[in-house]
Amino acid sequence: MKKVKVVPVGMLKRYLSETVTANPGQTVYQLLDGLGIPPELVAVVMVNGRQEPKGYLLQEGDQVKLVPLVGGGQALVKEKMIA
Amino acid sequence: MNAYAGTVLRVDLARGKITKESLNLELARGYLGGRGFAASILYQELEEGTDPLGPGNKLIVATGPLSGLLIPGAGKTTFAAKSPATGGYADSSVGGHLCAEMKYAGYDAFIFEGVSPQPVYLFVDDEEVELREASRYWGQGSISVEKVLKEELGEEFQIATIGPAAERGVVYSCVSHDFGRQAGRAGVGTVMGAKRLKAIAVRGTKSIPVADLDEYRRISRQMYDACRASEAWESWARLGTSGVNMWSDEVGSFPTRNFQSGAFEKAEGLAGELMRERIVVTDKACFGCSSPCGKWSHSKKHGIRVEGPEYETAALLGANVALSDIEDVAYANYLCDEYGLDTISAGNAIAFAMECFEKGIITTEETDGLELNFGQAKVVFALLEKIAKREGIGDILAQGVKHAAHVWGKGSSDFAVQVKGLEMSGYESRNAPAMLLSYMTADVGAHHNRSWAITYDLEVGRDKVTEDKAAKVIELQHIRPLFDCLGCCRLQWVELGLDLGYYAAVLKAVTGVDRSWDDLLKISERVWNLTRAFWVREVEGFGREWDYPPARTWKEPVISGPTKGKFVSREDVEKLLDMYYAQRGWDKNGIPTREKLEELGLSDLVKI
Repeated sequence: MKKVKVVPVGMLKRYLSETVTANPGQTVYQLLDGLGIPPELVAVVMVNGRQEPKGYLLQEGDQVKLVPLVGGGQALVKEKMIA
Repeated sequence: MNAYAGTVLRVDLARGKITKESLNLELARGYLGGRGFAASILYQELEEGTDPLGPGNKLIVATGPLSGLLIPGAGKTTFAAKSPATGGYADSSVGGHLCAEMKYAGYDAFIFEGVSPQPVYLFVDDEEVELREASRYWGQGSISVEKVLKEELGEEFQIATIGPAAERGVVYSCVSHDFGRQAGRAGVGTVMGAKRLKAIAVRGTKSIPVADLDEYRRISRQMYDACRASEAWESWARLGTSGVNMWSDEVGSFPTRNFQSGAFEKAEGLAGELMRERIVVTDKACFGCSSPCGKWSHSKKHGIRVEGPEYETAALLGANVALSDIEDVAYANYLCDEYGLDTISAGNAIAFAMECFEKGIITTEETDGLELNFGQAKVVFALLEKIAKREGIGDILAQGVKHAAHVWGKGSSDFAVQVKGLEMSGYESRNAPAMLLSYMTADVGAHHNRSWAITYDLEVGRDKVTEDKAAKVIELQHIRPLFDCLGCCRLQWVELGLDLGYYAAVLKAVTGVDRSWDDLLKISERVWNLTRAFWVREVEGFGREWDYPPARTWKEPVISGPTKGKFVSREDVEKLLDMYYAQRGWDKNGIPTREKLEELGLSDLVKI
């Protein structure tokens, strides 16, 4: 069985620090629940380059990207040495 | 002056006289540009009590120091005036290419004064500037006129236009540019219409001086690389703002049936991916942008092409009037673009009328025989036309929901969804106190672009009414409008996570003036306090009660969806304001204190 690849983006890395694999046959909601990610913080779920609803049933080999509401509400680094 | 064009064009429309003035160095240092220029000029030059639609009002079109440079998103132009929708301060920014062309032609800003005796447009071709007769364009749609002017003058001219709604004084008329981008809010287009200025056409061939060319190019390159490397780029470029339509519905913030609910049972019809596959033809980006959020769409059902619908239009002319076919929303979007109507206020006005009809407050007597039922696309299209033409019920709705509630009475002001007279943009906030406070205190009325704090509510707990929420709103109210001072889009930061540190660094490279990000935020705070002072001066009795949200906020819980039963109590509304005013250094009535004005270097200018 080919696993599902799950890539967290931006602030969701607080919940999932790196790319992981997961089992197909579960919905995105179930996936998020298992990973401890609050679904309301995930703005967009991209599966193989398309947006899918969180009720989408994950298929073998799916590439999933979890995109948060990146900047809204967050102040990022205020001062930064530009390399 | 590095990063600036160095000249301001002052256009006296009454006398047909155009003068070139050197850009004031103090203005550039103290206010940066864009919205900062506009706030400063309007405060200093408008006579107290100016009629927004009279000759005394001024329309400011301003670029910023980053505008027109090769920096991600550096294509934002600010339009500003005293608002005919609210009677207070208004600025609205538009993406596209206008600001770049203005600076290449040699101008940082245009100041339009007086009223022209006949319709005109401003023609600018580098040094050659003149007012040209525009009677033949009067009455034509915004997009149509832009097309005609491009054909007549040449493709390289950048053009801003108004539509028939602005000519007729609909208070939420917008300025249109780049075939579907708008300076949409608070009636800046209405002011342009009152001045009989149909269009602005600009071409420039000069370059913009920068202090340190190598450093500018080095940092600019890094900014582009960071945008392209962002893991959020793929979804953002594919969907633009429509990517969050379903999320907004899922968390109960998608305004539905005049904000009675935050969840729409047919929201799937408005999903971003469905829109992409069904109607989007291609992506469309503004000047200097590598992450195109604009979606150029073709509705076969209605036989039209339109930019959008972006999130706000899907929210206000979709869920809020209960339309669930993305092609119907696209057509309503197209009508608004041609008439020159703000889709946010127009969607609110129609939804308000529909709820009044639903409740029996108005009947077919008041609606010219139309059955104003939610979910009826034909009714939405008909009302948009009536509003633009100010016919029948459209004449009442053309003056905004606050006015319509005043006319129709019977308690309807409780659900006229506006603050300060400006209709609310697309986030139902009865379970998002920080977002609600953002709407209450935004300096143009209920708009989200000054602070978009709903994500903070979600992160820290939606029910909480705490000091940190007020602090977050203030922080965002300084960061986000700062982009409008710089003449640059904020979405690379918001959506792609581009680090804020880049902006201070690149601004230093191009201006040669060493300012930290905190220094820039202080300028943004100065502008915020100046716009507040403008309200205090222009609106009699201005104060705390002007920051109240519609009474529905505390009188009626959300009727369905994930936030069903939620509301923000009157006590919590007061608490939010108390915390916000105290943190801002304002008094209990929301007026900036002398100490705060002195701290910001405004005490000589502002006498309140």
